Amino acid sequence: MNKNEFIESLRKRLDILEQSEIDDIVSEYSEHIDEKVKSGVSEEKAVKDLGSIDEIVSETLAAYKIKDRYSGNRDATDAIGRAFSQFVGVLAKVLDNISKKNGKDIFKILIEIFLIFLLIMILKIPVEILKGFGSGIFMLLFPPVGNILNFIWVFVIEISYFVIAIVMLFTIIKNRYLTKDEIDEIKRSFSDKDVKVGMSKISDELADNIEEIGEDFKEAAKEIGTEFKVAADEIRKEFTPRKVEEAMRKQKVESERENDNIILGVFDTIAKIFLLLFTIPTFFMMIGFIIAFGFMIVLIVNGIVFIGPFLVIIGLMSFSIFLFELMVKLLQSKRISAGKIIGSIVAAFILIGVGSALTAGEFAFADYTNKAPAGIETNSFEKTYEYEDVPGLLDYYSTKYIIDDEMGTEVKVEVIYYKDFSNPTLVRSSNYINVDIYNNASYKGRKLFKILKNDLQDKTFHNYSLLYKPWVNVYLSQESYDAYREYIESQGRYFHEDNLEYYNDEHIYN
Amino acid sequence: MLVIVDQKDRYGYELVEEVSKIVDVNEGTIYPILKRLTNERYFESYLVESTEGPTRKYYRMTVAGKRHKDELLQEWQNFESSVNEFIKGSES
Repeated sequence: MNKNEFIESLRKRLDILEQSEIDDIVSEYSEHIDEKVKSGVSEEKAVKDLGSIDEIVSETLAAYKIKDRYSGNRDATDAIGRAFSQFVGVLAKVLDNISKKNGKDIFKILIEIFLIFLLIMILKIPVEILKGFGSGIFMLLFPPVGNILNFIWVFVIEISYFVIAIVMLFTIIKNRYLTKDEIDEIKRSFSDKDVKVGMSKISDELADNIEEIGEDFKEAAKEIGTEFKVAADEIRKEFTPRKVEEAMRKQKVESERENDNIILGVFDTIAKIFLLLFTIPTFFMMIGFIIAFGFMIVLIVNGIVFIGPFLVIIGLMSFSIFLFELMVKLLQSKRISAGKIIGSIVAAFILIGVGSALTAGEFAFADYTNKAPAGIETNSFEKTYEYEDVPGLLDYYSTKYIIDDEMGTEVKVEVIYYKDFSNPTLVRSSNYINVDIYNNASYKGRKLFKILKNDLQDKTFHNYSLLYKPWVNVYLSQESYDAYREYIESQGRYFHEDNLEYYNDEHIYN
Repeated sequence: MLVIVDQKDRYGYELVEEVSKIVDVNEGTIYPILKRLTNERYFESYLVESTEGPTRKYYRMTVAGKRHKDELLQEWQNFESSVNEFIKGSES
């Protein structure tokens, strides 16, 4: 690393010290590097020869009796606390700045703030599209698990949007309405303002008293001799107001740190628990998008290319990976650069925004029919029963009753199913017949994929869950049918007349 | 470092050079030690304007520092003589 990087890194990590001390330390290293360079060594080597920055930082802080714990990392609460106090400080400064300006400028500022809010609201649009898109997918393809995923999806998106909006607002205001110096000042003032105020009062009093004592010693030393004079000088120098102030401050800071350790520890743990709660759904979201990304690649390899959804998935995947990384870093109390956060968010949103728009365009003219896809091979089998054995007939929803008086007292049940997707059987339970569709249920992924692929290419979509549901035709005589109806109604259930109608036009199966 | 500064007041870079000649340590760790010695009042620093370059910070030993140095030297001499006696003893 070069000199500037080294210096910057040093400043950041020694942040906990007094500004004057930091400046002092940093200037020494700076001059050392300069001297080295002057003697003919390259800047890079000069920095390298100084050794590990971790060691330097921890040794330096040890010189102030500050424990290593604070030398590299920050607590999560510390980070949040600082962020919050920064936020409050910025707000205060901004209002202060605004109050100093005249009417015309204030008006301009109000317009700008309004535009910023407008921008944030416009940003909501791709977020909403995204939300709906994801919900749509989840509801369509994974019925039982879909609701949970959908909930998590919506939750994480809303939270992310909220956080992003706040960060954006904060950054824009900070950059537009405050100069760099003011920002630094705020940062500094919020870390040791209280301490300074308290300490200056005490040190003033002490200074008055110590000054007197110092004088007495000086007089005594004059009388006694050179040795004592030297001693007295030493003591006076040791007890100057400034040094007392420093010593007392360090004492206070040290004892505060002792107490704070416990309190900070508790807050830290609570903050981390909350973070963990957010991290888990984010993790699953990340995995989900990576899988979706893989799926997209598979589609592309098979010749189905949809730029829109592809961009969206890339955007979502990278965003979720970034979010997850962010949370892991926060959990480890590591620092995160604001620039990286903003950059990642902006990039993700651009990808998602553009992708969503393209997707809308690509799928605007897609068809969707609530039927099973056409032309899939079917199989069927039949079973005949005596009506009196099975007065309850069938309680299966997709049943059609066909009157055929030649059936007499018998009842014929015909089951038709999609050969590759289910393997139903008829099971008799006490006085009714059940269609068991879970028997030997096999999930023929490849076949389904082929169907999906064709549909995607034609931009027509069907209700794929129907592939797994057989349908039933029951042939029975009018007498049997009437007896069945009576049976149902005697149980207090409602008899669906629809079952008798010839569904074919609306039949959900092709 | 105490001995070096006792002989003559030094500034940071100079001190690092001198120490490096004797001990092989990372140059960056010398400064924290200087800081510590200063905070403990064994050293004190003063600035000297220079015509040829930047203002240099010189380090000088305090009375307390001198005393500390003497103590450490005494300890070292005690240690050294004990070791020598031990070696002599085991050789005979």
